[in-house]
Amino acid sequence: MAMIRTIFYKEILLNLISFRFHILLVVSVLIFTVSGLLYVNISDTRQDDLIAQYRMQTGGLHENSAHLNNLALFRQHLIRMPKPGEIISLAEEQDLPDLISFDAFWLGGFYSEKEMFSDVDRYNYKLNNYIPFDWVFIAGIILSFFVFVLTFDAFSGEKQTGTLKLQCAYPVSRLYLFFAKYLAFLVLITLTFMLGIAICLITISLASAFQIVLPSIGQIIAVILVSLIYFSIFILLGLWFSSIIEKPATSLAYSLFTWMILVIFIPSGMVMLGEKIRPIPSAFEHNEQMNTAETEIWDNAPRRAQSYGPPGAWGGKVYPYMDLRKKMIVEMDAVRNEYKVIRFNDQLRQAKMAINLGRISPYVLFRKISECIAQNGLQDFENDFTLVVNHRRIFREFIESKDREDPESYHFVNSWHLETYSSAPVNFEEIPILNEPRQNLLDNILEDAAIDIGLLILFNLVFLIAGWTGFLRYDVR
Amino acid sequence: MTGTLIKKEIITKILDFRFVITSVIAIVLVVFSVVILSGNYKKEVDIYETALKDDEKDLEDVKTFSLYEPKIHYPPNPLSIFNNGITDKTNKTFTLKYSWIPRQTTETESENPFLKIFRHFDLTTVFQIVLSLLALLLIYDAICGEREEGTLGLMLSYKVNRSRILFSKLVSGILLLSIPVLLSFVFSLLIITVIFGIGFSASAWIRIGLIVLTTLLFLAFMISSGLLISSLVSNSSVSLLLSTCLWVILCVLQPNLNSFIAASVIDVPSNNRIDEVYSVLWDEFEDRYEAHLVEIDKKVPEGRQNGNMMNYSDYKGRYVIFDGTTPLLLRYLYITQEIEPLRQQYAEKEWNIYKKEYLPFLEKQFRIQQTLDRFSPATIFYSIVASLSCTDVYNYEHFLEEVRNYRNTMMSYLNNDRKIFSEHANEYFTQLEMEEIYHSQYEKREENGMTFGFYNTPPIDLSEIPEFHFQNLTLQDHINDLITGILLLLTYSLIVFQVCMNRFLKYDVR
Repeated sequence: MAMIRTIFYKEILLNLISFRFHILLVVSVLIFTVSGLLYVNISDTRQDDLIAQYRMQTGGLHENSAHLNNLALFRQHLIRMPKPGEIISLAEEQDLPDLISFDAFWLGGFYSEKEMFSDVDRYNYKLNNYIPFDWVFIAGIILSFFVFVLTFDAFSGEKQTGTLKLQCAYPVSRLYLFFAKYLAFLVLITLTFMLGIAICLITISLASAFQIVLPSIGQIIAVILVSLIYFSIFILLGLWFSSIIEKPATSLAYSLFTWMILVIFIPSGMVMLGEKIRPIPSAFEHNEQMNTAETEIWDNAPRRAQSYGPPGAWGGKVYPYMDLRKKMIVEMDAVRNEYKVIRFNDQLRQAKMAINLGRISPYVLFRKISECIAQNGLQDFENDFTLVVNHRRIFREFIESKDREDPESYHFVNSWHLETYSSAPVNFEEIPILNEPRQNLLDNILEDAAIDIGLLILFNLVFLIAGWTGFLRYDVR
Repeated sequence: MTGTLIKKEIITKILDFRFVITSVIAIVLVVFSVVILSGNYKKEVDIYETALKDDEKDLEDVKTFSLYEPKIHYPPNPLSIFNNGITDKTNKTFTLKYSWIPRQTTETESENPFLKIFRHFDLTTVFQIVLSLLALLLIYDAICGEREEGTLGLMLSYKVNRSRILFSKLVSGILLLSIPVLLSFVFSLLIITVIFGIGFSASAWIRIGLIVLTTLLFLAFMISSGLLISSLVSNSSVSLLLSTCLWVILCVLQPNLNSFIAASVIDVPSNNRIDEVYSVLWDEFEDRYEAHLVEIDKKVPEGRQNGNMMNYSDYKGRYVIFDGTTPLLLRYLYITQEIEPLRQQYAEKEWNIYKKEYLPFLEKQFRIQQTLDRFSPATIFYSIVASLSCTDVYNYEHFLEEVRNYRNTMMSYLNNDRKIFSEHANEYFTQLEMEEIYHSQYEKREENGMTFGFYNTPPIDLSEIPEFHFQNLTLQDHINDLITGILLLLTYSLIVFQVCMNRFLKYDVR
């Protein structure tokens, strides 16, 4: 055992003083600092905007609570406030919509020309597309690249200098030799990552004007643990290449190509392939379908439900066939909402299909798990959407129950005619408010990322076997 | 002698298994990307064509000028397969309204809002990442590798000066790399034209030719930096290490970093704020509208009666579906005469606010990105190809400008030639005379019992309305950017090569 420790220390020391490790250190310190600084800039304004949006919404609710019918049609949003661990995984969150709109009757709100999802981002179409430097980007792309730079000559380099033979002469099995090297690299790269995280956190807390909510200790530990598994894949891969390829330079060349395919090509390529495999109707086609379904209801409705006309035409206070008309309107609303949900599910399924295809890349797995840790990304967005769908029902029930209390109302709660139901004031305190619930981190990870973690470990096992057998068969002469 | 040296370099490298296999992988990656990107382009064309057809159908039914809102679509560009530029972020459809001057709105019109992050991908990125790695792998041991093997000393014992050796290495590197580059282009073009049946115009072929040349120029830079690193160190492993670090910084890190810096250093005003400014403006308009109404009601008092007039009106536009009596119509004629020109004025005012309080910030961010881009050959390469493919910001802005010009032409045609906002303002409603409208409506109502719609009116006559034509910017329009970019790339390459020459002249070959 003492021997292993000696080999392990030797590896660490040799790498610590090596030129490449210094490059790695400099690059990662620089990137993490830059990432912290830039994140502060972006996050501060974003938080401002979302808080302003929140105030506007509360003000609007307050104002509209003077009349129940106005409140029912007030376009509300679920505002997706920045989560504490945002810096862990920003990239997808940046592109996801910030607001999901609804009113008591419709998902997306009454104004059908407005979208269900919208952004408060300060977005510039003139800029090129970019991936923000979140931790997943830095660890997943930059550090994993440096893993290869560290490991490419682990065996072949020592063979050239002749020290490998010497080590094999000691009374240690090759297995231990292999593991001592593996552990040394794992410790080095993880320490670099931890150092980077510390620098990033310090930069953020020094540079931010507001109190940006930093990731919790639990989140940081989770990210480090996951990145440990992730780096381990690349270390094993690098060791494997190093043991099956004679020349170090060739080994590096091949491992770089492998890295490029795993980390850059598969994520993008598979997403684009996924869209091909699972096409969805275009927005235009979808709207056509939705309108046809609505028109069908209109056409099948009794004539008296269709014609309404100005109040003068039927003289009374409320249209005499309002019950028929309300039934039709409710049906039309239901169809519209159903189609909105269908559209969302189509898009979501397509995205999930693409992610599933991309799961052959450890980078995609890493990103997905980190999104679970940061509690943002697609999964979180899906949860939010379900929240909105449910909350709209609750809100509608609230409107109806309030309407029942009003003796002056005609009790026809519908989305078209404000005058047929209550316009009494509502107590602001009673209005149900939609808030994103805080999820338990561990539950969240176990629920959504268990498979991904399993796959990452599977990758590890495969490359472990490959690397180990490669080294066992290695000709040290 | 130079010829012999180049020949030797090419033969030794081309026999190298590593070069062959990495080239094959590179070509496979390019082919894979081309297949997917061409498929996407085809889909875009389909969407564009159905949209055009639907527009035509919609416009056939338009019976009033108040409802005449033609749409303009951004024509898909086959060169976007080579370079996405900003095309996947821009609005593709613009509706021409009396009340709105066309501009890029912040809402994106993506079919699927998820996973955008993985979709920013085009052929230029593939070239930028794969071929530059190939270049570095080809050249990293050019000098130090030969020193290690001892052939460098041997070579210098011949009657040949060092600069010639270096030069032949550069030339042979470019020649060698042009094999995978040309093969990738040939395969891509074959797939695009033969399998997907996408055609290019003559000028597009010239642009593609220039894209090939730019790619080679960019790779020449990568080769000379590889040579420089190789002449700086004595060990080929270290040289490879440094080269790959350079690669990851230049081709992976920096393109992302530049835009990220630009986006976070300067703040663009938020949508909410600018919307607030607009709404103050339109509130003012509504006040003036109300004031006009009061005056008009004095002129036609009986027009205010409660008639069967469906009138949807908000500040974004006014759709009148008429079914009423003559005084009622008269009232709306007055409104049209006075309000519609006012609405156009306010649209102009809104546009001016956008131009003064929003656009400059976008412009500033863009300038920062552009300036940063100029420091890195990879991003210069990207922007040159974007200009060549007409997918850059300038081309899109040119399109927007054309749309706005067209809107102006159309408005002046409607205002001056058709005089739809004059005393003959009934044209704003239909082609018919006032009495005819009344009768046609009346008859229909008797028949149908329904109370709205221009059932019997003929569609408006659109034959004389000017048509919209759009041409991408020509090479001449882009010439400044292109020349600057190419000169910068050349300068960087030359500087690196010059430094490399200096180093190599002093290089210790032992």
